[in-house]
Formats: sequence, structure tokens, C-alpha cells
Amino acid sequence: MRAWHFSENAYPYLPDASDYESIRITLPNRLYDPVKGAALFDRFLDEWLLAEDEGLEIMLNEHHQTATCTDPAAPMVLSALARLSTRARLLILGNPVANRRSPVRVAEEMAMADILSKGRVDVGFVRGVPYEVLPANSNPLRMNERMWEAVDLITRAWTEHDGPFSFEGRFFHHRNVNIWPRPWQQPMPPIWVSSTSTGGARQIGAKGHKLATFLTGFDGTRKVYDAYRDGWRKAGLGDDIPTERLAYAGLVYTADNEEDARRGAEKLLWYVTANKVPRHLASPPGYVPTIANVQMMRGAEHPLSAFAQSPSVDMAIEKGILFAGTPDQVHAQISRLYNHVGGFGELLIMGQAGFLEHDETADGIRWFAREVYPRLREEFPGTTVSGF
Amino acid sequence: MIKRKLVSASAELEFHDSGQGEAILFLHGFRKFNADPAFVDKVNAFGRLIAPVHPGFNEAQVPPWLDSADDAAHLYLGLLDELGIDRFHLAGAALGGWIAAEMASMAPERLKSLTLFAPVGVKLGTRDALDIPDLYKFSNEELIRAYHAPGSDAAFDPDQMSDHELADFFRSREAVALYAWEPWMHNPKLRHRLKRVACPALLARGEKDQLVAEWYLRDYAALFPSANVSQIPGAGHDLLQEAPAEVAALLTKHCAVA
Repeated sequence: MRAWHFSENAYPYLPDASDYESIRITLPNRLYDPVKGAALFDRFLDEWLLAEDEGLEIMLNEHHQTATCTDPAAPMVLSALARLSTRARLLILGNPVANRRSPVRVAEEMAMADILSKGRVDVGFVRGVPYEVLPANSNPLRMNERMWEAVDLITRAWTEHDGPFSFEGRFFHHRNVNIWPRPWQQPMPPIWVSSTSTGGARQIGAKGHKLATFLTGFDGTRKVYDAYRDGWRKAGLGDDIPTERLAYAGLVYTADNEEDARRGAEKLLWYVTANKVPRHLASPPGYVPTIANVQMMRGAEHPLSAFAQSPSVDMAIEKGILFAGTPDQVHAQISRLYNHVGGFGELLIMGQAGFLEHDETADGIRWFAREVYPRLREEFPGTTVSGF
Repeated sequence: MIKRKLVSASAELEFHDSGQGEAILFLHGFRKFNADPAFVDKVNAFGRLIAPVHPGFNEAQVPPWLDSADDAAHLYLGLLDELGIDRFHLAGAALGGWIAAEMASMAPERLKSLTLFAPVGVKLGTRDALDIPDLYKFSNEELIRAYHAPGSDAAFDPDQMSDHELADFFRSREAVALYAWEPWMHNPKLRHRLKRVACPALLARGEKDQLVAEWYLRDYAALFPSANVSQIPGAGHDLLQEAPAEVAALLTKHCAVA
């Protein structure tokens, strides 16, 4: 198992949540102090480099027009990390390609970062979260179709080396694709795609890309992984799917005693509890099937939203979205999820959120890296066949 | 009266078809056509009413190529071809008004008259503001309120709606996004294509419409060689819900003099 330190680069210095309608999309940026924001980025970068020193890999992402994640241009931070770090893999998860006007530009940015890092980039693609169809002006309908067409075009741009080709798809049109530089890694950087639904996971499995799922807990993750394995096998990619194809993202906080661990874990829960967004921004028409919107009106709720109503560390651990405690406890919690879902080879650690200070973040990284990670690596090699 | 037809071998259209005589094609707005007798009977007293459901507003598969008002316009011209109707009266409301304006620009010679109720479809104001408010910043409750005149008791109440009605509501929001997302509620070319629409044109809105402003309707009308403007007192945006009889009266009167 490989572990990645991931931070959403939140800006937590906000008024009381009762003073605003939404932390995303409509929150005025006068609430962002550029000096405080720059200081936060100094420390976020330091924390990534500390994680590298401790033997972890590095993961970053982007969001738009939100205080929950103040990196709206992940390729730029990726470039900085490409030069600041020396050894760690660099996972960008991901590029919201259904919201991007030019997939070729994405191919160029990723190739550039791969060159700067000398082949250490893992490239993630995401459809884009529902809130961000407004800031991206991106039609919430047919996003899946756009995402996959974009991924096809990007992979062609990376792998065709004999001069220009043209592309006239349903959504994207390019008369001359011939990117310089091409990626360092051959034939191309590893591709990851995120999904929390079975339909999405099945498609990703059929294409053989790596699948990452976020905070889906015990049963949700198992369903998503089952669908991935099903898609993989039905596409004729083979019977055995190595666990290194599967990733799970959860909140992780490790300390040498339960009290400190709980304090850190409480602060990490900000990631879930601060996400105040009205329903109409969280669920634009067409982003989910019509029937899902009907079911929401009848009381169905996303498990994470339901959890956010009355969050607690114990509940989060029970649901498998948080791993927190002493090294032995964290090891046991991760192993339990691992065994329940049929194994996963990549652990994406949400190791910083909200008001978790630098020293606390650093302690959490160190305790995990030194006392938990070596055991996970030994017990759960990524070559293990996943499933039951 | 509800018919289904595969048009131009590419899209299955569902449409209301009632009455006899001169054909009136009526294109619904942001919500699916509701065959309210207060509207239908009055229109049928004049002629034949054909009112399709725009692709996306019902359960029928939307052709993967279809994503704009002018796509729908081509489809409806095909529907009339296949029904053997050469010349017709054309009317539409809101999104349907936009599709009607697109049809008028494509085949002005086939129109006997054009009546647009609270239409969208052209950009008339400054670049610094949306001409039509962003419906996707509205909650469901705000959206329903915006469809009606201020003070109306219309409300979004899922407990009073069947699953089928709820699905229709969400489908209508999806379909409007399909047609009108970007550029928001308009085709930048359309305003330059309306000068050829020589038939008598009438543009009307509810006096208390919260979505289509009075200035917008007036400036829209100025794009046609000859268009009159009218307001329905007290009514909000969704005229077929708020004032079906008045809409039918305006429409048939305009058709009769054309």
C-alpha cells in the first residue's frame, strides 16, 4: 500500500456559518485576506515536503470559487511541487476535464509538470463537483460524455509522436494537436479517475484506469470497488485486478495517545462539517439522474450529508471515513476497511483541514508515517489481487 | 389527442393535436405543455392546435446531437413537413418563444403569424448583466415564485406532488439547461436574423413577469419589421398557468387578423 498526503488548502478564517448562505460559489472573496492566504500556502507546501521527507507521496487537487479549497489552479501548485520536491510521486486528482474548454491545454500542462518533475506525476481526471458548473459555466448535462471524450483526446495527445493529428469529436475540436513537450513517462503518466458511484466505477474499470473513491465508507466503497472489478473483467482486461488499481481517500489522524488523536480528528472533521451549500447549488439539474432528485425530495440523503448533520469522531470512524487514534488503532481501522472492501493499494490521506495547525498536521503525518505506514506497506502490497 | 411521431428519423416527439382548420403550432415554455381547456378550447374554436413537448421535457430519449433551440426549431419544421402542413400560425412562450423565433428566422415564408409570449432567445442588454435572471441560482421554491406574479400563492411543495410530477419538474430544469445554459437564454446570431420575418408579429408578457422585463420585450419586438407589443394585466411569467384564457384570446385574435 502506498500513502499520499493530501490537503485541500482550505481557508478557514471565516465568519460564523450562520452569517453566510454557502461556503462555496457565492461567498464574497473580500473575506479572503491575501496575506493570510499566502502564509497558508507556505505552510501547506511545507507540509507536503515534510510528508515527502517521511516517505509519503504527495496529492493535490483543485476547486473553484470556494473557501474549502483555495487552489483553483492545481497545475500551478503541481509545478511548484515538481521543483520543491525530489522523490515523491505527485498526484493531481484531479483535472476537472468536463469543465475544461481545451483538453489539449490539460495535456500540455500535465506533460510540462511531468518534465519538470522528471516523471513523477500521476494524472487524475474528475468530472467536476456539482457546485462548480456555475463558476465553470459548464452545462451539468452530458458531463460524463464530455469527460471521457476529453480523456481520450488527452491520452492521444500524450501518446502520438509523429506530428500533428486532428480531432473532431462531439464536444471538442482541434485541427492541429502536436504537444511539446511530451510527457517524461512513456507511454504516458499513470491515469487516475475518481468516482463515488457504481456506474462511474464500472466505466473506469472497463478502461483499466486507477479508481479513487472518496469518503464512501464500508458499504459504499465495497459497492464501488465491486463495480470497478466487474467493469474490468467484462472489458476483458483479465480476471485478476491488483489492489494498486484502487484508491481510498479518508481522513487520517495519528498520535501517540488517544487524547491528542481525538483532538486532531475533531479538527479534521471540519472538512465535512464546514461544507455548507444550499441544495440547489449542490444538486444542479442533470448532474445526477432525475430519479435521484425525486428521491432526495422524498428524504433520501447522501451518506456524507446525513453524517454532517450530527458529526462525531466515533461515528466517522465507525463509518470508515475517518481513521484516528494511536498507531495500533489506526492500523486496525484501516485494515478493517481494507478487508471489508476487498483491498485497496492507495491510501489518500486527508491529513489537514480547517483549523488543524501546522504542528498538529506535522505530528499527524509523522506518527502515521513512522508507526503505521511501514506495517501497511508490508502487509498489503499493491500487487495483491483485489476482491474476495 | 396526444400523439407520438418519429420526426426526421431522429427524435420521437410527443405532441398535443386537437381541432380542425388553420394550424397553430404552440411551443411551451419552461414547463411542459398542459392542455388546460381554458386555453385549448378557445384555440380550437379558431383552428387546429399542435403543441409538442420539447425533447428533454418528457421521458423520451433526447437525441445525442440535440442541445439548442435551433435544433428544436429544425425538428418542428420537420414535424410540420411530415404532418403535411405548409403554412401555419406560430406561437411560443419563454423557451418556446425562442424556438419559435428561430423557426421564424429559418422559414419566414411559411408563417401566417407569429405570437411570442414572454419570449427569451436574444441578447439585448449590456454585457455586464444577464438579460434573463439565472434560474440555476434559484432554489426550487424561488423558481416557482419567479414563474408567477408577486404575491401569488403558487409554491413548490413536494408533499403535494406525485413522484411523476416531481420527475416532470426536475426534467424541465434539466431540459432548460440543455437548451439555454450557454450563452444563457440566447443565440447571439438570432437578433440579426429576424428582419426577414414579414408576417404580423405580436409580443406579449404578463404585466408582473419577473423573468422577462418590459424593456426586453419592447427591444425584442423592435428586431422584427413589424411587431406589436401587449401586456396582460396582473399576470406573471408563466402565462399559460396564470392567464390561459387571456393568452388564447390574444393569440386567436392575432391569428384572425393576420
